[in-house]
This record gives sequence, C-alpha cells and structure tokens, in this order.
Amino acid sequence: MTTKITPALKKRMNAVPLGWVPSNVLGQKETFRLRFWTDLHGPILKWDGGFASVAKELYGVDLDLRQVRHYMMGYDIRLPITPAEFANVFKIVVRLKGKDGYGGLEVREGAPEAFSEIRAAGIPFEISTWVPGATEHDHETLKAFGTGIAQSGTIEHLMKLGIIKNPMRDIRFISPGKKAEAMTEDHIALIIEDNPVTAVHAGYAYGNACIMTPDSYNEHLVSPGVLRINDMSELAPAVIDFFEKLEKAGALCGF
Amino acid sequence: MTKLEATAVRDAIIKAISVMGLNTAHAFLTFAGILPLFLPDGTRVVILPDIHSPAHHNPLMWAIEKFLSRYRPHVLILVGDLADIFALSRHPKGLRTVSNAQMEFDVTRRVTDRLIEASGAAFVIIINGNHEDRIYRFMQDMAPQLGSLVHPYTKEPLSFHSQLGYKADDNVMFIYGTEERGGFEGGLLLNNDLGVHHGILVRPKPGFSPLGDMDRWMRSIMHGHTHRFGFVARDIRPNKEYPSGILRGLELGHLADMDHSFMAYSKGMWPNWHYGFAAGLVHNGIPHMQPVPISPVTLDGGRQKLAFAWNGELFTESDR
Repeated sequence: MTTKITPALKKRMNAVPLGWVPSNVLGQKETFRLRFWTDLHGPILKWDGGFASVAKELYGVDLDLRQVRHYMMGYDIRLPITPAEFANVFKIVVRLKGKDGYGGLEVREGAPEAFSEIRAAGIPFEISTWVPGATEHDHETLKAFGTGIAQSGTIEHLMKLGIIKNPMRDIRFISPGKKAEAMTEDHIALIIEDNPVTAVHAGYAYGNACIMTPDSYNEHLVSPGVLRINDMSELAPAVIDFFEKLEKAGALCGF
Repeated sequence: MTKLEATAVRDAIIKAISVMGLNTAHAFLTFAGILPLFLPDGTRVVILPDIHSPAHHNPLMWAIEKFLSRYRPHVLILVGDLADIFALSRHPKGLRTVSNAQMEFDVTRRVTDRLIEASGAAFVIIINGNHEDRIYRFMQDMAPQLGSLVHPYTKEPLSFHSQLGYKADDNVMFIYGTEERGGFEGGLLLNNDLGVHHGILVRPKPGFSPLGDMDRWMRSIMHGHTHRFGFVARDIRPNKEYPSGILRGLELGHLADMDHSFMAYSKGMWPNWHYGFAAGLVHNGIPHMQPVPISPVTLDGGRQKLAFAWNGELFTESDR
C-alpha cells in the first residue's frame, strides 16, 4: 500500500471513530484485496435534481428528495407522487443525456476531493452500480428495458469527469441485492453506499464493512459493520484508516 | 532487487521477446495459426488451462491469483476454454440451467483482468479453445447473415476478443485458428521447442492425448482441452532441435467448478478429470515448464481443500 498521507489528512484520520474497522473483518482467516467498491448514485453523483426536474415536467409535482426518509422513494408518503409515476420518471431520467439524466448528472459536493485523496493514498476502487441495461427486465412481468444507452451514457459521463479510466475494470453494473455476496466472493472488504439496505447487507449480514454517506434516507440507521459519516470530508480518512488497519493486521493479500 | 530494477528487468525481457523473428512483441491483438515466439532466458511463464468462466472454480482461482502474485510471470498463457460460452452451445442444455451470453463475457473479462493484475504479466496470450469457437460456429450455422456486421467504433465483427472488450493497445494477444475461419488449431511454438495449443485429441488415459499430439507434431507439446493431467516423455533419435532425444508431453488439467450446472454433462461420465496448470522458466533457450498438480488435501480441522505447492509454499483454495 502506497500511502501519501498529508499531516492534515492524518489529523482527520485521528477523528475516525473507535471500533472502526469491524472486528469481523479483522478476524477473518481470509485476506482481502487492496481495493474497495463504491456505489455511484449517492456517493459520487447527485441524482435527485434530475428526478425532481423530470417529475415536475411530467406530472407537475414538486419533489424535495433531500427530505425523504425511505430509499424506495416512490413509497415515501412525503412525496406527492405514486410508485408507478416514480418508476416512470426513473425510466426517463436514466436515458437522458443532459444534466437531468444519467448521461449528465452532477457530481456530489466533496466527492471528487474525497476520491482523489483515496487515489493518492494508492487505494484503487471499483464502482458497483445498478443502471438498467439492454437485457434488464422487470422481475414480475419480464418486461425488458430494451436499451443499453443508460449504461453507455453513464460510462461516457464518468470518463469525461475523469472518475473512471478503464470502463472494463473500474465499473460494474450489478443489482443492489447482489453486491454483498459478489464483493464477499471477490475478497473485497469495504463498500461505500448510500442505500441503507445494501449497507446492512454488506456490513451486517455478510460481516464486511460499509461506509454510508450522509443522506436523509439513511440517517437513522445504526448497524454493525456500517460507519455512517457526517460529512463527505470524513470519507477519505475513514477509507484510508480502514486499509491501514487491515495492512497492520496482515489482512491484505498483496495484490 | 528494488521495484525499479524489477520493472527494468521485466521490461528488458518483454522487449527481448521476439514474435515470428520480428522484434515486435506487441504487434498483434489477434493472430491466426501457430505463432513462433522466442522467449529470452530468464522469462517466467505460467500456462493456465480450461477455466470455463463463469463456471470457473472461484475459490481455486483465488489460490491461482495468490500464486501468480508471488511468482510474477512475465508471460501468462491462457490455453483455451477460458470462457465456457454455454449460451451459444448447441449441445442439449439442462432444462433449468440459466444462460446469458453477455453475462458470460462480462464475468470472463473480470476473471481475466484479475489474473493479469495479480500476475503483473506484461505479455498475455489467450489461445482460442473449442468453447470460444462456439461463437464462430453459432454464427456460421445459425445466423450467417449477421457475419458481415461490425461494431461501428472498433470495426470488429462479433468475436471472442471483441466481446471481452480488449483493444489493440492492451497487452493481450488472442490466438485463433488458421485464417480466423473458426476452429481451434491455433497456438504457439515456444523457442522452436515446445508447442502450446488448446488440444484437439482426446484420449481417455492421462498422458495419452499429448502422446498422440507429439507423434503428430514430432515436437514437445503442452495442451489443455482434455481436463486430464498427465505427463509423458518419448524417446526419439536425437536431432538438432531435440539433442537430448526426449520429447515432453503434458496435458494440463482444468480449473473449472465441477459442481457448476454448466458442467452437469460431465457427471454422468464419471470423468477422470484433474485440476492443474504449468509454470516454468526459460533457460538456455529451452522453456522448462513444470507441471503443477492441484489435489484435495486435508487441512486444519479436517477440512478438505484443493491445494498445490510451489517453491515450498502451499496455496489453498479460498473459503469464500
């Protein structure tokens, strides 16, 4: 592990809560890769603005998605939109190229700095995200999404932003329900998430670790294996501290 | 040795690799036929057989990755059936076996990238096997009208390497059959000594398939395909190419998950399949490849795991 840690970053690392890293991770017989996974929409890109804009245009409603309490927002009673309408908005937003769509979403405040610091510390990451693709289909009706433009638009957007370099290695499209199992099989110990269900799945159910970004729909979650940060400036120290502790414990595989 | 020196040594070896007598080791993304490759002394080589992704033995691949990260081969050869391509197989499929062609390519790319990363190999050669050839045969038999379609950006027709997404500037070279007309007779001839190809002959006793191959080529041979692990030697009249008068033949075994539903057809055969691979070093112009058998061993707590030994270290499959 190549650590280029500035004194200022070291100071922030000292503020990482005690008890992090989860003992279950440090106590494993298996070793882990020097690599972590991160979700895209939430930890890196903002997506609420696009949703609100399209919902306003389509249904004439005002959505304030920063206030929602439930990740599956179509079911949140605070929103003046039905689940079916929310799903329709989603299908449009993911195909759009502009700033409202997946091909042009804005970067979350503090994310570029955080991921740059992590990269500078020599810790690579892979984006694991669900974006509907050409063969994605509805569970019950088997209705297919039918186009891969949302995925290719996402890749092109991330490459333009400089967030990924190699689309074959730096990003994988995977459903949230499969992330925890896949990362475990792949000897990945840490995931960055905004989705509380995936956080619990990875951190609690599978005994790995999850750093959860501060969002309204996960603010009440407290779970073993999950560290909820209060601010994006806490992300890099928490990630770097995590891998330093793994290295010290001899829990890194060396590749 | 410092990291910088190690990189310099590795770069020097890669520069010294000569392909077809041309000093252009990275000139090909794809090659059709038998490629004469000249590796300089000191080159470390690993040859992995029959991974059959996504039906690969995932816990065992972790042990292979660990080994690769220790051994750091300069050249990594994946000797065919890297992917299963189950979705395009014309064999009868189990009624409840799920297949998705794109998913197979996606997983195969990830498995391959992990091997390349762990090994640090600068020269990676992927030889077409009969399973990769399923793409060509399916198109030829079922949808020849689509054969003229090419990807608008890469200008590649539907092929194994194009679906894996490797590009011309990646250090990955694909070896296909003659003239890329399908088939899997392509391969390598290392230092005018050792033929490496996927394998065509299948004989039931370990060692007999490479024996047959040696008789056809009159060369030392290494191949996969049979999923058997066997080593044979044959005496010949000493000649310029084989002054010792000994030809070596090795079939390498496989690295697939025998319990995967893609492998279900093999259950009724009670196959004598074995796990294994080969690793070695070029010395005095000869690629000395050592067969590495992988066997179940009983470890702590009485658990049985697949394991292999190399250089005094035991590599065991993952618990995950």
